[in-house]
Amino acid sequence: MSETAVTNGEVLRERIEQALSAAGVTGAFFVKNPQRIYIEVDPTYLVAASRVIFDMPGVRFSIASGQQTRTGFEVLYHYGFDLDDCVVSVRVATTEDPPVFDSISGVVHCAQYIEREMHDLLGIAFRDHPGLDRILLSEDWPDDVYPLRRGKPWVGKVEKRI
Amino acid sequence: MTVTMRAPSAEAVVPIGPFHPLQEEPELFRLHVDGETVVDIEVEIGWNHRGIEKISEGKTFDQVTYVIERICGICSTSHPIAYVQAVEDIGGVEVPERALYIRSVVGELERLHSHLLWVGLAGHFLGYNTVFMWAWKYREPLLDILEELTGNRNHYAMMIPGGVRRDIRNESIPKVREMLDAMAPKLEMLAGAIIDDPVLHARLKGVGVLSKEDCKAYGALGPTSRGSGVPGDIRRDHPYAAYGLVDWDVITQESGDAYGKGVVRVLECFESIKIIRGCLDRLEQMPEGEIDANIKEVPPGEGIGHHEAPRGETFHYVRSDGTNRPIRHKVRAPTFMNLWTCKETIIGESITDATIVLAAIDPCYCCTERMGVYDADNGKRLYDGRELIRLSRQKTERLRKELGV
Repeated sequence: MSETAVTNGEVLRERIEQALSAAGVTGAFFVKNPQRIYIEVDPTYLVAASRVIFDMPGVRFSIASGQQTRTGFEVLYHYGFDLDDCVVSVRVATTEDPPVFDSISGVVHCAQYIEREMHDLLGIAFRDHPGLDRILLSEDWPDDVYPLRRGKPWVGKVEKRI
Repeated sequence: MTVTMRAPSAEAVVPIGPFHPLQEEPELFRLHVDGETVVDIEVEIGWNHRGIEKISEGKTFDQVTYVIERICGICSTSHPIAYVQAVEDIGGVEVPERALYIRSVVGELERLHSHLLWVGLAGHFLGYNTVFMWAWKYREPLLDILEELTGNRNHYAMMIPGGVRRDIRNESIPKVREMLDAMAPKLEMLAGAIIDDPVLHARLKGVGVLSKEDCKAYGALGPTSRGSGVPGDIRRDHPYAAYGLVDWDVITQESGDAYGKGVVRVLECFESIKIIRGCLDRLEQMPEGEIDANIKEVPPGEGIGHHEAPRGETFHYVRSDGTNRPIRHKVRAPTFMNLWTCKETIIGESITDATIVLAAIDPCYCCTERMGVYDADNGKRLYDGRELIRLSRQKTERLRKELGV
């Protein structure tokens, strides 16, 4: 890895950090390499952080990925920084059960669909979502069964939808 | 033949989809139509959710490559390229240079055959069956070359974390060049026929327009956004494989309509040929054999990999706990983002343009063959898929007569 490349990663990190602090958001940065930056923010800052990052030039919302961890649940929101050759991921975590985060769909319009998916598969709820309906699972799938959660596999039968 | 029209006040629902044996991503569009005009659209996905992310958690890192290759039969190397890069990102693995060139060659051969498939089907929907026949005819030698290089026409199984599974022998390279040399003039003829056709201009220009602002709001990707003048391309913006090492250009069109998206795809074929030729030049100068970094273990951590698939960015996130299996594997195909843009592009359009507007994002046209128009009040079928394609062709024919060509 060249020295210039590492510097570029740090420069971008500083730019994001300044933009976030101007909006009163603090976060823990981890520059894994010049192409990958992870920022962990408190869930209360999620919408503000999303707004700041999504409004930066050349930024595109790639997707979010939810997962169950040993202590609870976390969601990573991935943004493509196409002008800087970098993927910036904003991480929020919670130990609450059921897990609830603020919906960022008011800021990032297309995030509503992946939020519906995370709700379907992991049972993560999103406050102020325009319509947290099923997206992948059948309408008659049991309400408390989440395919991507860990633990004992669910055994049962879902009636065929007509 | 007389076409019975709905009274303007009676809103009907047109379901498009969801199942067809050829679809890689089944989806259901419910078009609310008022007379011939689409007034609203509902999109429903999940009809063939196979739980691949969950299956992936139960496979070893090597096995996952072959599982995710089965996500899609058309862009079957796109998911593996993104996935292996995600695994390599976890441990910061450096891939041998020869493997990088081979990845780009396979990736671009795939883009060529995927775009030709689209051109053929778009022609079919519009009543240009000659285009359909040409495009698919020229696609065949490509698939033969893929079979020669990888052992299969699709599902090439070329990628592994750390490199590629098979070398491209230098003795095979002249055959690839020969195929590209034969294909380029035919593609030029095809491109000329499509781009300069006045009927296609009348049929596609201004239809299903997607603005730059909507591209950002919906996270549109690939030719769908490049057709709206957004110059995003993962191959150039986040160089990986050999895309930063050879000469090529990003194709964009400003119009944002179905025509712009089509032109982007057609012109991109020439860039793919340029990339493949550049990679082959370099491969010939390199010794054969060094194609794999031989990863022995994947450390704990997380990694992200992405690849510009024919339809846009394919995104993979992989998390490892140090064992031989991923504990989380998120897959995002480009259609997951592009699909929702139809909320902007199709409303206000005519039902005769619905097939091509939905096909313009290159989701899976096969579903449109399963179209049916039902009366919302009594559930009676008004049109079926064939009827809608026939209406679409009829409109092309009418324009052709009006334009006198």
